[in-house]
Amino acid sequence: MKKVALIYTLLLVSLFSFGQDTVKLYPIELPGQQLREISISYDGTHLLLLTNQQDAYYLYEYVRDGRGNWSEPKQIFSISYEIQGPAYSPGNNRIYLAVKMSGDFDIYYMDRTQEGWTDPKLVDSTLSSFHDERSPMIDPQGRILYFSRDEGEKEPCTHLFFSVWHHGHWQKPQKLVAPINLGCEDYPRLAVDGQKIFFISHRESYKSFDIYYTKKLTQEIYTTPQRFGFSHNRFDEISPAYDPVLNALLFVRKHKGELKVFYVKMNSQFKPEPVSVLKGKIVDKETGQPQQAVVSVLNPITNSPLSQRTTRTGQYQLILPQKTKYTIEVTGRGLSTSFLNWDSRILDSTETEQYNFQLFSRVNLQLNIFDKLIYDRLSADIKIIDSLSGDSLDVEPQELDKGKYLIRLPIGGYYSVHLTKENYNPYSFALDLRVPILYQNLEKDVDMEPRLQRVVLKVVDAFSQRGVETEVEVVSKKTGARFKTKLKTDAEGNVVLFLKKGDVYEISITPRGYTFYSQDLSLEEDTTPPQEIVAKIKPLEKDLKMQFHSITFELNSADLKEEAFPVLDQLVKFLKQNPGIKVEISAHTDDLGSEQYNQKLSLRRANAVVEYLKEHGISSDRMIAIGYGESRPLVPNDSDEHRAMNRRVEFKIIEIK
Amino acid sequence: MYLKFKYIIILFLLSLIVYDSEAQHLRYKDIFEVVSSGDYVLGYSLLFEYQKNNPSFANTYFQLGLISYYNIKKADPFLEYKKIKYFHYNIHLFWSLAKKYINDDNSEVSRNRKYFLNVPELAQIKRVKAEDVLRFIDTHLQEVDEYVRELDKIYGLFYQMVSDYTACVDYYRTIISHYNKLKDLYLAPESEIFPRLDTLQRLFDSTMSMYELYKAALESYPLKKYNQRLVLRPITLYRLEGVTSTDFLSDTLLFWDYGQWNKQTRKVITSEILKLRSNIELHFNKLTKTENSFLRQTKYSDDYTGYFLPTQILFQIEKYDINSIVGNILKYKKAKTDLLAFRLHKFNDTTDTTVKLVARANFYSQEKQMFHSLDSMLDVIKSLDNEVNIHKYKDFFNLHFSDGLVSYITGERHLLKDLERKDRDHFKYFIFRDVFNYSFDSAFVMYRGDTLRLYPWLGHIAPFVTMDIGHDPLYNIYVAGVTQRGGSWSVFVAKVTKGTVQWLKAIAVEHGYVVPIVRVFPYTDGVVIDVYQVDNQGKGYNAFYRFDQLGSKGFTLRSQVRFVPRYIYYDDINGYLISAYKGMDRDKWYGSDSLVIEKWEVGQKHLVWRHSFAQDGQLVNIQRFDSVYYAFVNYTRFSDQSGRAFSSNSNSVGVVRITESGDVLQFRPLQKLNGIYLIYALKLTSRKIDLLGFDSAPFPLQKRKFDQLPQLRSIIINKF
Repeated sequence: MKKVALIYTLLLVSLFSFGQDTVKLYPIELPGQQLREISISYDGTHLLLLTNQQDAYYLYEYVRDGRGNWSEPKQIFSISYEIQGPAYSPGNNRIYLAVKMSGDFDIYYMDRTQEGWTDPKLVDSTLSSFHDERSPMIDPQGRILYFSRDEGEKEPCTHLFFSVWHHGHWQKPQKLVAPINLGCEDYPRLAVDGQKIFFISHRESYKSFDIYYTKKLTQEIYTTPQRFGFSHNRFDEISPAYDPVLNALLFVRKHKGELKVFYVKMNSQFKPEPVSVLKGKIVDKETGQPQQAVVSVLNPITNSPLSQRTTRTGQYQLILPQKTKYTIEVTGRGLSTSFLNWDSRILDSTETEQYNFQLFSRVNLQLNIFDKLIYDRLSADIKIIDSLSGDSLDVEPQELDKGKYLIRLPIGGYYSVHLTKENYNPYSFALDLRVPILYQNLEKDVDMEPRLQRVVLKVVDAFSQRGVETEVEVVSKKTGARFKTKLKTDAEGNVVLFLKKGDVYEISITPRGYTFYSQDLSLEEDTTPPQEIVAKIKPLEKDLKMQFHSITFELNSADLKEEAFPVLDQLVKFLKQNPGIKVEISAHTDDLGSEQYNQKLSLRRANAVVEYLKEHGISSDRMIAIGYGESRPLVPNDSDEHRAMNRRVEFKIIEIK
Repeated sequence: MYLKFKYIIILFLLSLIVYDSEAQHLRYKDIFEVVSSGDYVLGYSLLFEYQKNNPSFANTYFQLGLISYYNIKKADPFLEYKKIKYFHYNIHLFWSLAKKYINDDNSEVSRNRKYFLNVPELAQIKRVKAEDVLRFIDTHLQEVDEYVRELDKIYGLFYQMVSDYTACVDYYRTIISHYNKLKDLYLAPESEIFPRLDTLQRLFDSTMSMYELYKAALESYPLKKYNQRLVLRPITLYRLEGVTSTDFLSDTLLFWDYGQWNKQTRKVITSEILKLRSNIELHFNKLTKTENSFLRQTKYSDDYTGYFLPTQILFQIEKYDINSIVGNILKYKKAKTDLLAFRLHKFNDTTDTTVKLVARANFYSQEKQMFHSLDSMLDVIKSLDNEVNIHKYKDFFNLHFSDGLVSYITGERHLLKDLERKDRDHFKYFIFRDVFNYSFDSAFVMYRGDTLRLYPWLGHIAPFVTMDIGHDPLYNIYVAGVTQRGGSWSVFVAKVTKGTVQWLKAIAVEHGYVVPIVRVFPYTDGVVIDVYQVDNQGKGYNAFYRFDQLGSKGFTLRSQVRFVPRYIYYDDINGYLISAYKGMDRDKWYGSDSLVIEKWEVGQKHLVWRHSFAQDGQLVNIQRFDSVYYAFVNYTRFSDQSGRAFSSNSNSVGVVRITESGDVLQFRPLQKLNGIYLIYALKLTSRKIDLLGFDSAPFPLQKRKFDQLPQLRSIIINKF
C-alpha cells in the first residue's frame, strides 16, 4: 500500500508539477511597510513594489544592475488613496495602476519626468464603469490595455477585459472569452512578446486564487488556460509577474502570516518569443537636451498610429514583434518629425538596438534675394505674418550677406512672407510649416521684379525725320550697370526700353554716319518720365559742327578737367565708329584777357583735346587743332552767361571719306 | 501485483477527473445555442473545449469550420489577412475532420440532425442527410479556397505596391536630405544624381506597375470595400512635399508623383544644366587659350582686347547658382584676359617715345586697379572654395584644378605679382627717363667736333660739361652745362632733336672763376634755364634765361635768392615763373636749409611773392591745380610761416599749398606715404595725383644703378 501511495504521489506530482521548478523566496529587499503587490517591466530592468501602512500606500521602484542584482528600493510615490495593480508600460516611463479616488477603482497612469513621477491621471473615461477596474497592463506594443473589471455581481468578482487603442482613443472594453473568464479573474500580466499571458483565477474546483497561463493566437482566440501546479490550494497567489532575466514567474503569497514574494523558474516552453527592442534618446538637435516628444508606431499600410506614447524624459523604448514591418514616427507639437522604417526579421533571440532621434522646433529659412533682370543681390524688407492670426511675427531676419537672409521660424505655423523694396514689385509666398517637417534647412531664391517704366526711344535723322537703325547703349548712372543685351532700334528707328524706376540712365547713341547723341533720363520718384524720347541725330557731312560746353579746362590752363572725360570718350567712340572722317578741333575763349593770350591759350587747349584723343587710339592725321581765341564768339561777351557760351570746344568735320 | 497496479490506475484516473472537472460542465446543446446566437468568439472557445473531451463528435468540427468560414468572410482582407490565413488553415482542418467522422459513421448526421440546421442552406432541406452536409462542406471549401487564392494574389500585389511606394518615399527622403536646395540637386554631378534618379524612377515605376496589377486583380475579383482610385500629387515645394507616406486603405490613394518630379528634374538637368556645363567648359578653355596667347605675345598694340565672355553664360550660371564659384572663376579669367590685353598697349612699351608720361601714368593707375580687382576676385574665389561648391562642378574641378583651387590661386597670385612688378619697373623706367632724364645708355652727340654728353657728367673737363638735361613734351632734349675757355667759365644750352644739335647758345656768367650751377626746365615751347652764379661781391644769385624752340632768347630774370634752385615751374601761357630753392650745395639734396618759393611775373620782371619755410628735408616738385600751387616735400621737420612745426623720426611727405596770389594754406602731412620717400608727384587729372616714391632714399640718381633701385611705389590720391 505504501508503494501504491508512493507511486500515486509520484504520478500526482508529475501530473501537477507542470514541469516547473520549486517555489523559492525572491531575493529582494523589502521596505518596512506591508507588502501588497509586485510588478516587473518588460525588459526586466525595473521592478515595482506596492506596500501600505495604515491608510497610506507606497510605490517603490528597483533598478537592476548589469549583474542582475536589484538596487535598494526607492520610494517614488505615496498616496492616501488605495492603489492596486501597478505595471510599467514598455520603456518604463509610464506606470498604469488602479486608484480608488472616487469610491471605486479606476485606471490611471503616471509618467516619469526629469523631476520625478507625475500625479496619477485618469486614462480614459471609456474604460470606467460604476464598478472597479483593476490591475491594468498594457501590451508591449502599447495598443491593448488589459485589466480586470467587477461586473457588479453579488459577491465581488472581477473578470478580464481588454481595450484597443484606435485613432487616438481607447475603444469600448471587451471581455476576454471563456475559458479565460470562467471564475473570478484578475491580474492579467503579459510577457514581452505580447502572446503569453499570466493571470489569477478563482475557479469552482479550487479554494483560492491560482495562477494561470494562456497564449494568444489572435485577438479573439486564446489557448485553454493552464493552471500552474505550484499553486497552493489554500492560499491565494496574486500579482503574478514574469521576470525575463531569470525566466521565472514571480507572485505574492502569504507565508507565515505575511505576504512574501516568491518565484518559480519556468521551463523553455514559457520563454517569450524573441522581439526587437528599439530604444534610445530623443534630443533637441540644437541644444542636445532631452526632448519631450510623441513616439508612434505606425501601421505601414494605413500610416495611422498603432500605438502612441509621450516621453517626457526624452528616453523611449519600443518593443516590436519579429517578422513585421513598421514605421516609427517621432514628433511633437511644434517640433519636427522624424521617421524610421523598421523591418523586424526573424530573430533567434531578443535583440536590442539603439537609435537616437534629433528634433528641432525651428526651421532655418534662407532667402536669397536678387534682381530678376540682372541677378544682382538685393537687400529688402522682410515681414512675416502668421496667416492664421494675421499678426506680424516678431522675428528679425538675420542678414548674412547682401541679399542673403536667415529667418528662423517656429514649426507648426502657417506663414506668409512678404518682401518689399523700393522700386520693386512686392513679393510674397506662403510657407506652411504645419505639415511634417523633416529638414531643418530650407532655402528659397526670391527674384524680385523691378518696377519698370516703358520708354520708347525713337532715333530719327534730324533732316529727313526718317528712323535710323542703330545700337543703343543704356547705362545706369547710379550703379554703372549696363544693359546686358544689345539694344537696337528697328527700321523705323524705334526701340522699347524697359527701365527700372528710381534709377537715372544715360542713353547714348553713336550711329555710323551720324553725330552722336547722349541724354540723361531720370526715373526717380519725383520726376515724371517721358513715355517717348525722340533723338534727332544729324547725318555727318562736311562742315558739320558739334559744340561741347562740357569739355572744360582748369582756370587759365590747358589742363583738361575730369568732367570732360565722358564726352571725350564718346568722341573717341564716335571717331572710331566713323573712321573715314577728319575733324578740326577748335577751342574758343571769351574776351577776358589779351587777344594774344586768348589765342595762345585756346590753341593749347585744342592741342590738349587732340592729345587726349590720340592717347585713346585716334590717329593724329585725322585731327587738326586750332585755337581761335576770342575771335569767333557765338554771342556778344556782354554777360557772364554769354561768356560761358563762348567758352567752348568745337568739332568740325572737314573731310569725309 | 496486477491488483496493485489496478488501484494505481484507478486513483490516477480519478485525479484526472478531478483535474479536468471543469470540462464536464459543458453541454453541447448550450454550446450550439451560443454558436447559433452568433457569438462566434465564445462559441469557438467552447467548441474547442468540448472537442477535447469529445474528439469524434463530428458536429463540433462542423461548427468550428462554420465559425472559421464566417471569420474568413467577415475579416477585412487587408487588415486581417493573417487572420484569414489562420482560419483558412483551420477550416480545412476542421471540415476534414468533420467529413471523416461523418463518413465513418453514416448515422452521425441523422442522429444529430438538429445541430446541422443553423445553416440556411441545410435548414431548408427537409431531412438533412450526410451527403447534404458533405456537399455543403465541399461547396464552401471551394468557395473559401477560391477566395483565399484570389486574395493571396491581390494581397501580394497590394503589399508589394505598399512596399515599393514606401521604399520610394524613403528613397526620395534620402535624396533630398543631401541637397539643401533643389538647385543644388540640379548641380550635383551627373555620376551622382542620375543613378539616384534612376533608382527612384525604378521604385516608382514598380509602384505604378504593382498598382496597375493590383487594380486589374481587383477588377477580376472585386473585394468589397476596396475599390480605390489613384491620385498623383505633384511635388511643388522642395523638402516640404513628397516626404510623407499615405493611407493605402483609403478610397483615394494619394501618391506623390515621384515620376513627374523625376521627369522634370531630369529635364532641367539634361536640357539646361548639361548645356550649361558644356558652355562653361567651352568658355573656360577659350579663356585659357586667350590668356596663354597674350602671355606669349611680345608685340605691343592698341588692338588687343580681352576675351568676350557672353553675359548670358554668367546669367545662366547665376540662375542655378548665385555667387557661383565657377561663375567667379570665369569672371576672373575674363578680367585677366582684359588685363593681359591692356598690358600690351603701347603705353607699356619701353621703346615707345610718343606717349606722354601723364598718359602712361594714367595707364598704370588703371592697370593697378585692374590688378587689385583681380586680386579681390581671387579672394572671392578663395572664400567660395568649400566642399559644397566644388562638388557641384566636381568633374570640372577634377579636370582643370586637379591640384586644388588653393594651388591655382597661389599660382595666379604669383603670376600677377610678377606681371605687376614688371610693369611697375616699366613705369619706373618711364619716370626716370622722362622726369629725371636718367641716362640709360650714356648717349652723346657731336657738336662741331666736340662731344656733348646727354647726361650729367661732371668728371669731364673740356669743352662741354653737361650739368643738367631735360626734354619737352615732344621729346626734344635740352642740354645745359658749363664750358671753360681760357680759365673762365660760361654757360651753354643746346637743343637736341633726334640725335642732332639744333642749336647751342652760350651765356656769359658774371664771375667766371666760380663754377656756376645750371638747371634746365623745358616747357612746351622752349626752355628756361637757371644759372646759379656768384656776383663780383661774392654773393650768390639766380639768373633765369628763356629760349624758345628756335633758340631765340626771351626774358632774363634775376633773383636775389642765393640758394640752389631745385625746381622751376614756367607757365608760358600766363607768363609766370615759380621757382623753389634750397641749400647751397647742389649735391646735398636733403638738408636743414630753408625752403624758399617765389613767383615772378616775367613780363614785368616783377616778384609777385616769396615765401620761406624752415625744413629738414627736400623739395620734390611743384604741381598746379586750379590756381593753387602744390609743393611736395620730404621732411623730418617742417615749419610753416605761422610757426607751426611738423616733425617725425623718419622721413615723411607733406605738401605746401600756395594760391596764385601768394596765400599760404595749411601745410598738410600725407599720412598715406608714411615710410615712403617721395621722388615725384605726377598730376594725372584735375583731381588726381600720383605720388611716386621708394621705401628708401634713391639719390643721388646717377650714382645708383637703375636696376639696383627698389620697386617703385605709386599711391594715387584725390586732390585735397
